[in-house]
Amino acid sequence: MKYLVMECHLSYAVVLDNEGRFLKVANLNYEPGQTLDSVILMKEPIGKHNRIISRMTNQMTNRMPKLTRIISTAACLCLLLLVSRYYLFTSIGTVQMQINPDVLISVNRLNLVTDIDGLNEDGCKLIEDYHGFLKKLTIVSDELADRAIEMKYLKKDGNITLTVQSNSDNENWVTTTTETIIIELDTHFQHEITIKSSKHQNNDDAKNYSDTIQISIPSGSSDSSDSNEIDKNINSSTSPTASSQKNDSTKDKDQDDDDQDNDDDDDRYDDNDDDDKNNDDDDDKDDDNDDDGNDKDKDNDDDDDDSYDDNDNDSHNGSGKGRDDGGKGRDDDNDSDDDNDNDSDDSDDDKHNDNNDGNDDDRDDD
Amino acid sequence: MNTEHIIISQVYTAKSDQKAADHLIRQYLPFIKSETSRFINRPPMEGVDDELSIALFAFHEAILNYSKTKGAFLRFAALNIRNRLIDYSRKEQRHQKVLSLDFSDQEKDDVQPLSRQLSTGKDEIEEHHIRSATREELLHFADQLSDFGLSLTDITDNCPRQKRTLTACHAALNYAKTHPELLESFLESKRIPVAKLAAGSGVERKTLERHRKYMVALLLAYTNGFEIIRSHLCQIVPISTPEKP
Repeated sequence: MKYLVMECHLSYAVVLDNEGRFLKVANLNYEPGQTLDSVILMKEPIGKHNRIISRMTNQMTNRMPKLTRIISTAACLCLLLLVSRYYLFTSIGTVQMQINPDVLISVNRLNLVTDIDGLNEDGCKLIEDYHGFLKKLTIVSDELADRAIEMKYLKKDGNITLTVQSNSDNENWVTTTTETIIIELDTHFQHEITIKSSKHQNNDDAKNYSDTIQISIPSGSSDSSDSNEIDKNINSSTSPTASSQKNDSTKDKDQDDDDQDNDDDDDRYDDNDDDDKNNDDDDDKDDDNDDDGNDKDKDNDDDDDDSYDDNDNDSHNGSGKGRDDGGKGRDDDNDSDDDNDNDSDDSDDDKHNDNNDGNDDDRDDD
Repeated sequence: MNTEHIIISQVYTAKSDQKAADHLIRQYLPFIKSETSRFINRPPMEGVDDELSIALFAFHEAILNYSKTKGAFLRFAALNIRNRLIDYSRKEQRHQKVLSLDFSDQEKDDVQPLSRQLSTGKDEIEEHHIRSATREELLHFADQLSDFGLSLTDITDNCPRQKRTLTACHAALNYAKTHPELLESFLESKRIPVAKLAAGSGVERKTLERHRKYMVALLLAYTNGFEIIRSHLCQIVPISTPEKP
């Protein structure tokens, strides 16, 4: 390499090499125009040219031909696609919506819908021309419910049964997702929702409704009779929460009653427990009729807990009211009936209401 | 402490200003000489001892590389001077058995140095003419650069370090050489036709913009009047053709 001295300064000289580089070198008494074979190059400041980084980059670039760079870029893209596929397109659970159309919604880790399948003919019709891919689960559930109403699959007093399942037995996800859908549908249909776990027959277990949720969708009619009926159903139905509340209220009231009412209080508790068991029973009316006769006999018998229990196995809340003392018992029972109905189905509430009406008449007769 | 702050401020000013750097070096010349004498165990002679030139070079290097995190500047400069002198002495040790051309036998009278006694085999008069012509051409080249607002030091600072970038700039130069109208427009407008060069040579515009000053020097060298510089560039290694992507 030959260096042409271009310029001389006090502490350095500028030289031009054969390859066209201008360099700063030590000025060992050089003169402009002088040609040199070897020079002492000045060390470049590190921060100015990032020497280390540029050296590494140079090495990498020189060692990595273009084809390798293309392949490595393609590999990074593939890895990115795989990761996104894992998070976006892999289903971790399903939500089965049973109206009469039955659809199965698959969701991913982000609770976005990855797939919707119709499990029956009506379900296939329901999701026809519907695109819910990568939409939020709550939005899809609302939209499908609305479609069901528009297509008249969902009618007055209709039900939607939701079954949430996790592919990896993740109970937390099941619980969280269930509650989310419940809240969403509840809000969407303006809080006119009753929730019941149809999987658990025992009232004590009814508090756990993470697996299957039955949601009654109102018809949306403004008919007051329907709303009244719904109110009655709400009043007359029972649920674990309501029953516990009823127990608490009656307990409070019982504490204020005379000692003569202690047995009666026990009876009321028995009544409540029995009524919760019998919410789905269709023989309530018949049982109530039987109870009417029994009630008369029991009015004066405070110790007949057994017969009371027998009769109340098939009776609703109001059946045991007549046996108790006058106004207090009736009032208390009526109040408890109201509390219980807040948590029960409408159909059962109707039956309870009917029974209550019958019992009230009987009391009057008494 | 105040002296230290003054020195540091002067150093940071000299990093970007060549005149300030020269002033600082002259100001601390006694310090540089003392460091050199400490190394060579005798007072250095200006214009004679290469060690003094090395020390001056090392002091300038210390100015450019200094930062506050490295402690006191004078200590840093002294260390750099010592390291450079050590490197130089190791490099020169292989020539210890070789006599200098400036050597003269003091025992004889009217002795001339060896450089005057020995024949180099070259026509020194011709070489002298060539060197003077080169010097004039270089002065003319520096004057032309000053019309563009540039100096050779600026060109040096802007010169590409990576070979790939250097090759790309040469590709643009080759394209300009094959299109003389570009060089003419360059001389007239005093501006580089970056767009045309980038489009014609295939070099990225960003590369040409980043090394604009260097491109000015290259294009200027290939206009009329700088044959010596061009011949130097083509002396041994021809301008390499760029690798096509």
